[in-house]
Amino acid sequence: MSIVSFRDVSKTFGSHPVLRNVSLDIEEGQVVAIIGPSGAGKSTLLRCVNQLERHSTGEILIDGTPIGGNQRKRDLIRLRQTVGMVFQSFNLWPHLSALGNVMEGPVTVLKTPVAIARQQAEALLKQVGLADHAAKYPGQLSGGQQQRVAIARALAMKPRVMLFDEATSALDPEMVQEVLRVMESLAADGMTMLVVTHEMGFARKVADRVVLMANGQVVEEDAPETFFTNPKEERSRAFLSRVLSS
Amino acid sequence: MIDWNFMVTYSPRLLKACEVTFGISVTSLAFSTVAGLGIALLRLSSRRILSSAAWIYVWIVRGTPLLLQLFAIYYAMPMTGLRLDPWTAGILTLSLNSSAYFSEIFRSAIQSIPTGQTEAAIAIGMGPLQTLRRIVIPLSLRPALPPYVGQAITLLKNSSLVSIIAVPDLMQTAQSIYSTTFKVVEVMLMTGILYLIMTSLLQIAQTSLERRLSYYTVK
Repeated sequence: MSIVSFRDVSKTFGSHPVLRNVSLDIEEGQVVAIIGPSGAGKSTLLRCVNQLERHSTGEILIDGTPIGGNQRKRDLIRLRQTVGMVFQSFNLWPHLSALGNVMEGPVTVLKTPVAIARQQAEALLKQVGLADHAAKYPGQLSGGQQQRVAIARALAMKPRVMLFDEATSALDPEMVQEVLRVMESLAADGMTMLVVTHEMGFARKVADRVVLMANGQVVEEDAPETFFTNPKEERSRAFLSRVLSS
Repeated sequence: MIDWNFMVTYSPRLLKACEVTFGISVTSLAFSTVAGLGIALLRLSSRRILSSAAWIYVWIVRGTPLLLQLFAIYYAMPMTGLRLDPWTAGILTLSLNSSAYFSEIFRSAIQSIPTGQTEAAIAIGMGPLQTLRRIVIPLSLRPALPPYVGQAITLLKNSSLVSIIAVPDLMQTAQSIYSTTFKVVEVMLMTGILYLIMTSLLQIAQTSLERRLSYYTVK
């Protein structure tokens, strides 16, 4: 059973189409890397999963339940809670400590008792290697540390699937690895992940499937080995030769 | 020459009147803060009718003199059958007037929050009210604070206008003292100092709050 299914999903901004008839299934436990040139619609596709952007036509199913459309607000919000998201620019809440950021979802949304939420948050911060930074505010953390807190924050909601929207693109090179390592260990733990990335090494090593998007369409979808060594489409070869030579 | 003895004699009466001024101001401040936030949210609403209504309210209230608004509420309202005592009329006018200014302060503060902050809240599964209460309002406090205190100071000074409808505030008390004693300079000197002390309290509050909200800049 697919955790996330896109069925013929299209999206236009005004008259400009950004997604054209995208169909894609993400199975439980799979890591799917979405790559492609900028403007291909990768981030928009990801943002449609939790309806930060509304798709124009087609259907998106989370664990079999359609999300968006004329859905009641309350049902939409509940469905969103099953999807974790990590942003390019971290988006930690600056008025809360690292621990506060991680506890916020469970306490405010899930009504988890504070003592339990705190324990869970501490465990999650330990998992991302930040046990010693729990009391710090985002402004006191490096980019890589902030992004790891953001991952812990999303995990605190115990999501069925995690979305990574260029999670390492805003980081200094020396901090990219510490975030990728956390993502890798999540994948190893069996988390279902949809990862928009420019890190070809990560896509090749960690992903179960690679999806190349261009002009709002899925161009090619393959196992990483096949995709990187023997791509079927001309468009994929052109993209790979450009990113791998740079 | 300034009559210092006179000032000592009359200071208790003026101090007493400060309580009225401060009471009216703080009450109006509380009402207009809540109303201002509500109007700001209406202004930011995606429903055209709500944002237009809020816009019109702000347009009228900011575009007409406070004194005229006070007269409208105190003298013209009885024509509709609603007669307010001077206190209520004064507090109501000051609250309505300030709420328009506060709404603009809150609106700009809310709009200064990066969209990513609210998107993170939405993505985590918060509803609109939770996002407002837990993220938007706390994050707006810092940018809103300096203009908010500025407007609160204006409100406190503007409260002197209620003296015209016979509320025994600091200004009205001052006037009644000098109209019988003719010592305008002494009375106004004291009155000015007392207003300055009250507005200074607000300023001190601003400084200490700004320090407490400085988590942003910690690096």
